[in-house]
Amino acid sequence: MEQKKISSGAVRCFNAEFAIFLRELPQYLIIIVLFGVIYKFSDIMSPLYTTALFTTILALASTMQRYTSYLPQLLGYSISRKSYMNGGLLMKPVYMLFSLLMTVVMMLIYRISIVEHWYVIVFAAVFALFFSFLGDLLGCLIDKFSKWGFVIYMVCYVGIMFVFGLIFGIMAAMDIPLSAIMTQKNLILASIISAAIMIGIHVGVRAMVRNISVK
Amino acid sequence: MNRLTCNNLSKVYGKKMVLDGVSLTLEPHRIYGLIGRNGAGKTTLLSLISGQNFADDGEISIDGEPVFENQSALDKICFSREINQTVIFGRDTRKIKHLLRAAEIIFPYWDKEYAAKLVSEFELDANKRIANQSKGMLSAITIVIALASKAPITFLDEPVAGLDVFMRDKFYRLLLEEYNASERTFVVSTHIIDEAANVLEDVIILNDGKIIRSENTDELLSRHRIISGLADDVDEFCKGYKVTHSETLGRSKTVCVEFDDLDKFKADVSKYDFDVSKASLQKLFMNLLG
Repeated sequence: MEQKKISSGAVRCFNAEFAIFLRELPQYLIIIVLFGVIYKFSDIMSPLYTTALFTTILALASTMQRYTSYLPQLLGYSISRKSYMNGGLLMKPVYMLFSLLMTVVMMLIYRISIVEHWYVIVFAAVFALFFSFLGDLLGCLIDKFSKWGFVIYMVCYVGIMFVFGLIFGIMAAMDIPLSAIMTQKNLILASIISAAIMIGIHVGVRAMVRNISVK
Repeated sequence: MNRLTCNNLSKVYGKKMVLDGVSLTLEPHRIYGLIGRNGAGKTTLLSLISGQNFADDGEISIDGEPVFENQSALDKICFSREINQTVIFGRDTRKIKHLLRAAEIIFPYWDKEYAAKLVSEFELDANKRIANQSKGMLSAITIVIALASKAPITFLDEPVAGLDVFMRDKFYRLLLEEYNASERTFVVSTHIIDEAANVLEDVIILNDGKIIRSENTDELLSRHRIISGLADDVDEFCKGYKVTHSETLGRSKTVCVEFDDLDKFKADVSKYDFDVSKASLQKLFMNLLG
C-alpha cells in the first residue's frame, strides 16, 4: 500500500493542531475586536495590553487543551508520544507569531509607536512562548492528577504571582522604579532563568507524557 | 509484509492480572475475530498492541520492528475504538467533519473519497456535533475512520455496538469489500458472535487474560459437535473424547465434544442414537467458557 504523505508523526500532529487553531481563530479575533470596542466606548482596559494578555493566555489554554482534549485522541490515531511532544514544540512559534501579530495590529490601529514601544511586541511573543510551556505543565498535571493537578498548578501559579507582587509592591513602597532593575545584566539573567524554566518544564512534561496511556 | 507478533504480553491493573502471557501472530490479509466475555482483556490487548497502553511484560513487533513509540510501525496501525462524547470540560462540541479532518491529517494512508462514501453509506451528517450523536452513530463514525484509514493493520473494538441490524449488515458487507480490495488485516472485537462468524476467518478467544483458542474459524467449528442423547450413552461415548461442555436434564445429556479425526468421530457416533449438530461459533464460545 503506497503511503500518500511522507511527513513525520510530529509534522502530522502539528498539521492537525494548526488546522484546529485556524478553525478557532475567528472566535479569538472576535474577542480581540471586542477589546477594541469596549475601549472605544468606555475608555477602560487598554486594548493593547488586553490583547497581549489575551494572546498569552490563549497560548496557555490552547496548549493545555492538547493534553486534556487531544492527547488521548491523537494517541488513538497512532501518534507516538514522542511525535506528539515534538508536534507541540512546532506549535509554539504559531502562538508567538499570533501574539506578535495581534499586538502589532493593535498598535497600528491605535497609532502607538512600534519603534518606541518595541518591548511590548517582544514581551507579547516571549510571554506567549512562556505561557505555552506553562500550558504544557498545566495540561499534563490535569491529565495525570485530574482536578488535583489543576489545584497543584494554581497553588504554584498564585504563589509565584504573589511573590512577584510582593517584590514589586516593596519596590513601589520604597520608590524604586521598575527601570532600576531593568538593566541589561538583569534582563539577561531573567532570560536565562526563563529559558531554564521552560526547558525544565518541557523535560518534566515529556517524562510524564511517556507514561500516559489511552484508557 | 505487515505481520504483527506479540510475545508473552502481560498487563496488571492494581492486583488484577488482566493479560497473562498472551502470545499471538497476526498474519497479513486476514480477518480475525477477538471474542471474550466482558473484562476478558480484549480492549486491553488491542490497546497494548496498538501502542496506546503499556505492557508490563512482553514484546510487540511488526515485521521485527517494535511497535511502542515507533512512529513508522504505528503508521501501519489504526485502532478504532469507542468515541467519548465528553471531554474534561464538558461535552465535545466538535463536529464529525472535524474528527474526519483530523484523521485525514494524521493517518498517512487516509482515503478521503472513500471516507465520504462511507459517511453517506452510514447516513451520517458530517456537520452534526459528536456530542449529539446516538450510540449507533458513534459506532458508525468509528467504522468510517477504521475503514477509511487504509491502515495495513486495523483494529475495531466492538464496532457494531448500537448499530441496527441493517447497519450491521452494511458494516460486514463493507468490511468484506475492503478486505477483498486490499491486503489489510482486520481484528474485530465483538459480542454479536454468530453474525460476525461469517466474516471472521480466524478467531481468537480470550478468557481471564489468556488466549484459550486461536485458530481458523472453520477448522475450529469443524472439530466440535453438539451431541444429545441418553445420559448413560453420552457418558460412554465421551470416554474417548474431550468434552468442552455438558448439560444434564433428567435422563438426557447434551455435550459439546472436541475431536481431531472427523471420520473416526462419525464412525463412533453412528453406534448410538444421538442428535448430532454442528456448533455455532457463539454456542461453542459459550460452551468453552461456560
